Amino acid sequence: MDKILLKIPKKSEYMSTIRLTSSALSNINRFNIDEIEDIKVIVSEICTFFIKNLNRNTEDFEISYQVSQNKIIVTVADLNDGELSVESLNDDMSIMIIESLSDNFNYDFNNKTITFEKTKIGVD
Amino acid sequence: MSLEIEKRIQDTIIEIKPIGEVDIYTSPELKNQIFALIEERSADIIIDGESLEYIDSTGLGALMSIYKKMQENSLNLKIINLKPNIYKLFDITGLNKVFNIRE
Repeated sequence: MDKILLKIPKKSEYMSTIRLTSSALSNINRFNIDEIEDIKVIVSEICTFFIKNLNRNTEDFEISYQVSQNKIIVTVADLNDGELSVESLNDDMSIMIIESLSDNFNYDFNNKTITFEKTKIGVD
Repeated sequence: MSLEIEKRIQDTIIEIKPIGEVDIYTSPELKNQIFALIEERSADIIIDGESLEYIDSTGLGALMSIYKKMQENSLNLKIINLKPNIYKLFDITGLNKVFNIRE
């Protein structure tokens, strides 16, 4: 399993760079076009969720991609101080999209990380 | 990729064509430009998604604000030519039932 780490400022102007990187890494692993689109959307929505719900942005996002033959595991950590409330999960369009498109997901609000998995279709 | 917004103004209809990506960085620009047009023209709006490559939840939120603003002014909003990957997000969030979306 290869591991790639992207440390990037928590600023909205870097969102397209984050999406481009996510697509490129998914493409290396030969996900199909729909799966690559899903991975790009999920990563982008996780970062958007943090930007919307945790105001501090002096520290970076740390995005880790673990790429294996049949799946990708992505963890987005917001390295800023501050607290996320569980209420932020309610009625949030980002969360709706993340939960719909990922195969597995986990919110760790103490460490301000969200992790998801996407498995290739047709691979056990 | 950033966002360009093409506008074609006819008598009672304004056609808006977003070119590129509508996300947390660019959605305020789309919202502000369309709000200004609503104030200025008071016309129905068609958003043409032919060149819209990406939209995120904040972009969808901006469209919701535009929709509400237009309803307050008794104006109509129609969205056309959405790509399947974009329509998928309207479907997931249930907004395909809110907006008037045509092929």
